[in-house]
Amino acid sequence: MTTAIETTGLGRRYGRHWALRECSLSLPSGRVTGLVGPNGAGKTTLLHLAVGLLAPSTGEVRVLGAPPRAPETRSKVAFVAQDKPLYPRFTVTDTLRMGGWLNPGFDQEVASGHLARLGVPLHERVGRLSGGQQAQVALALAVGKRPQLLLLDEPVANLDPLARREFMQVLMEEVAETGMSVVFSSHLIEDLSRACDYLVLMSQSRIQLSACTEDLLAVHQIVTGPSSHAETITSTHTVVRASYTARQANLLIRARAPVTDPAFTARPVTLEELVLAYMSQPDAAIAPALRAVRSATEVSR
Amino acid sequence: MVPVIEFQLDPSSGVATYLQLAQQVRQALRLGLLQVGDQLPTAREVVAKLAINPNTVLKAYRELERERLVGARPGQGTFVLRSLPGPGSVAVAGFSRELNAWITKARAAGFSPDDIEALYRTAMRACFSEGAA
Amino acid sequence: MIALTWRQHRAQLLVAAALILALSGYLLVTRHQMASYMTGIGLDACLARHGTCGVLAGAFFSRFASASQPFSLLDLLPLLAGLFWGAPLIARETERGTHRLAWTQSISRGRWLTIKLAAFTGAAITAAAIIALLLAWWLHPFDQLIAVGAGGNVNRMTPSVFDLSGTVLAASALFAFALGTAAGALIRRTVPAMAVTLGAYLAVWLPLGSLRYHFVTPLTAHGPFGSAPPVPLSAYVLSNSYADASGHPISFSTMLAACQTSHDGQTGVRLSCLAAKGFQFSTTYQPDSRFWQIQGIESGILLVAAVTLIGIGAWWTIQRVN
Repeated sequence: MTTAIETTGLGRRYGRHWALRECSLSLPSGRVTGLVGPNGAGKTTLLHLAVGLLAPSTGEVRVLGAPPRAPETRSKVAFVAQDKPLYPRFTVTDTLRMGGWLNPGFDQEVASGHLARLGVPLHERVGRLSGGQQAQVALALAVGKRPQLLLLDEPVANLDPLARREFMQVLMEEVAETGMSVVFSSHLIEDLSRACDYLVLMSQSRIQLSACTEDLLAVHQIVTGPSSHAETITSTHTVVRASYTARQANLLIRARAPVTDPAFTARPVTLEELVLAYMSQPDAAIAPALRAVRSATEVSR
Repeated sequence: MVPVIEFQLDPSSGVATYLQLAQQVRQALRLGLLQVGDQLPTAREVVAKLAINPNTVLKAYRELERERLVGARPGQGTFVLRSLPGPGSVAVAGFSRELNAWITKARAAGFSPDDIEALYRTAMRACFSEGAA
Repeated sequence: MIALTWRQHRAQLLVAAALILALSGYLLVTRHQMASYMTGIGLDACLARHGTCGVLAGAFFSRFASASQPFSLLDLLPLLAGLFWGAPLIARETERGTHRLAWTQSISRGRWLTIKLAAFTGAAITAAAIIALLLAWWLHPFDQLIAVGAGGNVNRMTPSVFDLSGTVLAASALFAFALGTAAGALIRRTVPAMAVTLGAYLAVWLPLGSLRYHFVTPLTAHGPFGSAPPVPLSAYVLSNSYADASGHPISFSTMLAACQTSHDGQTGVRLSCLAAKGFQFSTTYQPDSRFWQIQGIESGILLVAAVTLIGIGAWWTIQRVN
């Protein structure tokens, strides 16, 4: 299955308010996809629709080729919800055993392996663990299921930097080991640029862009030059974000062709700059043509 | 198996991650820290330390494979095939001389160490980042 | 999933088991006391001789009448299944967000719910059966005394004991549990669900206590004025009133009017007149022989309601809840 999540005109509304609308995505499998956007952009709604906790108001979502609540999908997809819900009075051991009770084929050794290595006390009640340890337990529970797709809603949001780093280390290690697809939402751009090779940017309940990070970085640049000559750039390329002083123009563009104007210097853009630029311009959206761009060096495992 | 080298990451350098990894392998080869036949750290090992996407590691190793520096043995890992001339070699000495000459010229022209550093970084980014000619 | 159900709910089940154990202990101890007392004062022997045993019975009642008082508290025992098993079942999960954990595992939401419901249903039926059987056994001395006409008013036809006997106790527990489950599923917060469960259960239980005696048309016995109508022992009396000679019910004032006389400026009624006109005492009652019939009807009503409520709660949970 080459598509991890496929949505067609997916939408969800509460009364008159649309939490998600016109969402058409095709997230490739074998990737780590970052779901970025401000609070209220619809990230949690999208994830809940993908795991069957919500039913769509319009449109359709298919996960690994099947509906989210189909039996074959349930056993291949794992989910770590926001705030990492666990049963506080269960011990860590109880929690992992629960993984075995609820999922045939649950791998206790893999689940407890990381926890043992990180020194998480297995006989302690989960409610008494630190935030970082609880996050690791929630991750172990998900990973022990040996899923093909792992979805996480803001997994590192409330963790201190060390706990964040340890969480991402374990997560990436599991990706390397199993080749599973991962989709996680975050508003911490730093983690996204390290871990993600696919990016979905959401804004105001809509998808703003959805593309490989490689393609995104290949096609966007930051050009700097005299304000008086900015026309030559703005007329040829799509400007995502522009800032002007009296003399200087600083433009983040989506280049249709290499920038040849000698008055302008171009430099590659970082993922952080790109995400920030799009987030500050909620109406800017990536053209569908970009999704068809496949770098010649596309990775396949 | 304890990996022979350990990668570092400089997120603020502006250089793409996979290029940094490849560069560190080349550096290790030059310094003799990696020798022919040594196994490079597995993607899993690298990622468990750096928390980066495994594809990035594979991309770096593929880059090195293209340069015939390393080769993958299916089911076993990626191994060093040949080494690079070290600091003591003639090629490096030549580059070293050129660099020293250029820095001296720039200093004489009135550039401060910061100016020279800025020139260097811009050039590095332009040369090594993705999508540039 | 069965293992998980036990692990998650063992505290609730163990508390119930402890309560039943305590109750059983009380029943066992007091029953033993009653038995030895009866033997001690010779009431045992008197009953074996089929005597009236009036005096001995009186002594027994004055000693043990208070023993049955706790049962009026126990009437609401089934409600506990609704408050502490039913209301938190779904509501606790949605309140704490753990439903986002439980419902994204390989097991389906339907199977998850079914096994939990089955566990609590089984526990409720078992607990109810134990209590009902123990209570029936405990009541035996009282039944014996009523049967020989020695008096006493604690038997299985009285409202509070009827609640705890036969199949009604289990049906009430299942009804309360179903009510709690549905409330918890729709309201999604435990404490409000408990409040709704309490209110709704009382709204049904309070009227049902008297309504049940009319599920089957009550019998009426007439007796001549001055003596008690022949009501069978162990029956539950619904009302006492008056009837005319042909058995039609009449009101007290009508009856007086027929026999009112004035004598020396004082109005009065002559008892001989009432008797001569054929007025009768009239007692409406349900006999003990209809115990199982009424039990069956009430249990049926409660079970149908329980199944409907569980259906609603389950449908809502499986189809709709996030």
